[in-house]
Amino acid sequence: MRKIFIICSIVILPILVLISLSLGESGIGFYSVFKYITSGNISNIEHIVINDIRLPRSLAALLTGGALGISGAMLQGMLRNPLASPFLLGISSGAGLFVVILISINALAYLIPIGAWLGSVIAAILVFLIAYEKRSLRIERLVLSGVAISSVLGSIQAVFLLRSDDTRIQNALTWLSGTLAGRDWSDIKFTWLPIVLITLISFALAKSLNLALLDDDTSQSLGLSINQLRLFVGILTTILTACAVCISGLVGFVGLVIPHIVRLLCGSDFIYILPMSALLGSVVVLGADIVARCYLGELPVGLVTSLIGSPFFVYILHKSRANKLS
Amino acid sequence: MNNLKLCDIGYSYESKNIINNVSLEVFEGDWLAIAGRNGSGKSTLLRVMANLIKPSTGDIFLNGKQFIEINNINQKLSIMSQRSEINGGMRVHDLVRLGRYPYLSSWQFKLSEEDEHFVENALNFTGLNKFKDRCVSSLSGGERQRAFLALALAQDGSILLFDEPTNHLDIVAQFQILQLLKQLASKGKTIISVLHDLNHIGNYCNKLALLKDGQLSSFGDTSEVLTSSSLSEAFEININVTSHGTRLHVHY
Repeated sequence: MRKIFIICSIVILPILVLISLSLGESGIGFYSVFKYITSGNISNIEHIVINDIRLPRSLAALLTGGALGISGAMLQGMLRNPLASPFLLGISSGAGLFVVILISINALAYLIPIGAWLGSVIAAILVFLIAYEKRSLRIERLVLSGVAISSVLGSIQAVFLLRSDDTRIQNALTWLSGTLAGRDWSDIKFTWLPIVLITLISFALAKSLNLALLDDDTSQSLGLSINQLRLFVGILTTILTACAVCISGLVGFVGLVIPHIVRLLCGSDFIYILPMSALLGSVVVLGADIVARCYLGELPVGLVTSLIGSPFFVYILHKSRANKLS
Repeated sequence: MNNLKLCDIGYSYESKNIINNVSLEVFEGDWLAIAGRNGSGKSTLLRVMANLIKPSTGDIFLNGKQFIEINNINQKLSIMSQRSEINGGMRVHDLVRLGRYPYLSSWQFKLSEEDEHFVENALNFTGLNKFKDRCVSSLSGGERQRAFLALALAQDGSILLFDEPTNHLDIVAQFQILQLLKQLASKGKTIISVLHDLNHIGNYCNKLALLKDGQLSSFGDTSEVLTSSSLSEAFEININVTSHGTRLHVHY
């Protein structure tokens, strides 16, 4: 099962990229994309559509999905909590609050991703500071402080939303649902490198995350420094998620459910879970964006990942239970 | 010859003394039981000996060296905690493989053939080979304890520490675990375990440390320490010890 899953994911990803580059309202199709890849000998308009509109948007989808997928996998492992997601550490509420404030004061558009990034990081730092006690980071305190901070920031966000006019509320809600509409090179210019680098660094944590599945005493006796790992994973996932949020807003479902699907199909070894969560996250967000862009009239991609992904996840869950019973 | 020596060990937490001036020494093939009332500091002492917490005072020596001087300490000491657990639906085989992680280099992600050999031996020794593809969470209490014992064995430490290894197990599972530990001691491993059942201590352990309020009230050969007077002093109730041949029986 694991091999089939890995091969399928690796094969599907480039096919989806080709589809994403070939589909769109302009009528520029696969033949132009083929020429763009092989010789680059295409018209100016084709070049603009493929190179400046569809390619950066596809890359934005891949980066968002990969970052959220691997962040979710690391957090679920580190927190030993299957309900953990990158947004558990208050990141979504921090980003959401900053963006809603910026939209409500009619700030310049280019400030919104920066505000989202800052909001995410500040909220996560607050959560970690509250959870840190007696030179250790306890899981329960981390989760509870995440819930508390999210609740406070979410309430303030709601106040700003209620006091904004309708157009601004709609803008804010689109962003809060997670969207890739209109993303270009400037949206990924500063985020692609941290996402790629941290993803590669994360792979080196696979053994530590396997040990973190054990209780604290046993994992420590096998050489794991659990507090260092919690802090390190916290920093990495905060940066990864903040970058993803900065690109696309709050895309739900991916960080929570993708690691579960990977575990069901790949087993519990993080040596497989980490790269496959990044890969499947990218596949899902890119696939959802194609559907959102071409068939659902630019519905926010975050809504599509949840609408299509959740029933699929329930199906996988049911199938795995049926297999276990048989 | 392996030995673990504690000199005047003390441990304080939030300015409360949990352990005071504990000195003892165990050697290769010894099975030391640590007993005492709840809250007497048994588990804390075991965690200090396992290098999980640093003592506030005193020194610990493993084969004449302080813990801090030993580079690969995780290859020397294995602990099976009272709360041993694994999350994430891991299979028994994968759990036991974790025992070899202290032997892998930073960028080595796959076990060597030699490592796999240790894993197979640990699974065979604990009788878990037929369960190795099962999920740990689907095992019975006794099988789970054996799976964590196999993990500790795969780690191949010369000192094995166990915090209440027979807790919550039926008598058959208790017997299986105790027999396995006895075999390990006879093979030269040093076993240190917190045990509550004084009859188990009399039947299996050759050394006994009795703790009272964080202090060592008695330490020595089990035959000398497992007496009515020592036990009554440590537990503060009347306890009688009778002998039937070589076996000691504790009544209370």
